[in-house]
Amino acid sequence: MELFALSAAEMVRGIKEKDFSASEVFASCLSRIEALEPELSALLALTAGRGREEAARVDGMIARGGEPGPLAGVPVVLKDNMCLRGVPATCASRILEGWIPPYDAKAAELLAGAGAVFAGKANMDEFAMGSSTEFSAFHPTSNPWDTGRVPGGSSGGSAAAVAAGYVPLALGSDTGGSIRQPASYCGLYGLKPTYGLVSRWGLVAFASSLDQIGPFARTVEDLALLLSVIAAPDARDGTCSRRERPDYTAPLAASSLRGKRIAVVKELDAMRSSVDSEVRRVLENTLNLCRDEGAEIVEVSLPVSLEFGLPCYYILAPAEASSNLARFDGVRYGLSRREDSLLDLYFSTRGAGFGAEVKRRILTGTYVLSSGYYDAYYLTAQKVRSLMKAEFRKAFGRCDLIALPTAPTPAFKKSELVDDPVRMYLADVFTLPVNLAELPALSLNGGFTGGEKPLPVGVQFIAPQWGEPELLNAAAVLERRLGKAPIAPLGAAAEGGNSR
Amino acid sequence: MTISEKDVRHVAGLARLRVEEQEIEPLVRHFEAILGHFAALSKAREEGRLNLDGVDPFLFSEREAPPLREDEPVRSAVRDDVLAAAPERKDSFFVVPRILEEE
Repeated sequence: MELFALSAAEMVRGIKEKDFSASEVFASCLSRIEALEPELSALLALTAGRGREEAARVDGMIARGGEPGPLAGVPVVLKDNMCLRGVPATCASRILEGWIPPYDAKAAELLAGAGAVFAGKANMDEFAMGSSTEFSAFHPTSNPWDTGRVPGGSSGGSAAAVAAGYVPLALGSDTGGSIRQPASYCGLYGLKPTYGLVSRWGLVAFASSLDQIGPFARTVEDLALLLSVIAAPDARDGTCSRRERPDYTAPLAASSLRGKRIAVVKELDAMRSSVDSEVRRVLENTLNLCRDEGAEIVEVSLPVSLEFGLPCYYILAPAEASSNLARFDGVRYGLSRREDSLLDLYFSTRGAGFGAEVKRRILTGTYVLSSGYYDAYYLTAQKVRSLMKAEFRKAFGRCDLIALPTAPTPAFKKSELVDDPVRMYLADVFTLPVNLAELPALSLNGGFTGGEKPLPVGVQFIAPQWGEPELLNAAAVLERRLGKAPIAPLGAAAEGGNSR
Repeated sequence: MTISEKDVRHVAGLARLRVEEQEIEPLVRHFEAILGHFAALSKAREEGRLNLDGVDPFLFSEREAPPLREDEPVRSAVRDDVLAAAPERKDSFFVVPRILEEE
């Protein structure tokens, strides 16, 4: 097996036991990237020079008998809304083109401290606003399972990079489903942690009450390994919890789901017509496996979340975004259209720098917060959000985990929804209630669609606040039944794959 | 809920966002679609399926007290790094077009 195809845990073991070096691992990943990137366009920047140096440093440390950390020599990719000192961070936006952050995000700092090696920055929807990565100002990304389809979004580049075998681990950010939905479309594990588990320091803000950084991986062990590294307190993010983090690798030893109550959601039945039949089949099959493993399947009701979560989210997230994105004014960094007056400088810079979807969201957010509409929209949506939190709390009185589809469909075709943003928003209907309720959730690959070009289909498990160990426990048990997430069969199998 | 082109222009002004003439009409339709979704809420309230009376709009999950740190001065050495990213600077200032008339 080639080195790039190993899991992160296998890489760390091999490097520490000197079966191979971190430099060899990095070189293998780099040639994989160079071979496939023309087809996939998953990255916005390759940090080959920096990565080589970091890998050499890990090798040197091991030669001297040192301990480089739990991710020693593992190549990783960061979504381009996270800062890495000296490497451009664009958020896939023209307004930040050329901006070089003068500091590291906390998550990047933790990765570097754990011995990880940075391979590049991943493509995304501009400012994380989108569900297909087609709203990147630079280029779309292809789904490694079918290059005519989208990888999901907004962390589509991170997901495609892991699914294609560029790297075993990547970080994304999830505001309404931006880790879980691409994980589903690309056949990976993706985890959106509890709000406050991972520091957002150095993550460019989209909607601050919803944003959370989280991991992508092809094995549950890798997912837990990466989560263990990034889940740390940080005084520089006031919303980052100071609570002690448990050992996230401990749940991997779980032998069954005996004694666990896993809930199906009553309202899903009424939504049958809007959920793809293959998605329903894969969910059902996964629940059967849970039952096989000893779980008791119960039913809970989430009527507010499933009926009103979507409109509520598309009021609140743009409201927060309109405020957060006010900082991009052409004065201090990024694009600047010099004009005769300061006001014109603002208007020109923002008009030229933001793409269509970002403009739509800024304007929607400004509208719902504007004088006379605040009560009708923003405050009402906040009340609905409170109801959703209460509804989840009640549901978790009756179960340990809730199972839902990650997305209503498998990956859709490129260009299919790009001109109908409101329809594209439906891709988030099952994921965004989790952000609104500040909960953790994990998407795993439950199976594939039938047909000539099988597409991965994700299943989402939701846990109560700080319930990441419960999620990893279930995922570890199911991984023994479902298998690890495979690297997409690119190359030979992708021949004849049309790129559009 | 009807949205007019005037509403969109007004909001674009508030957001300091230049919107081209051909962008206005699609934005009107977009606003209507989004707010149309939201209208489902009002309908459900009228039908008595959704009761928001007395609901706290800012119900938080379990939260810790805000973190406090010791009030100790810390030297920050980022000024030059930050200024290096300026589109236009003079000494340690960001340069913007004049906002006051000359005497």
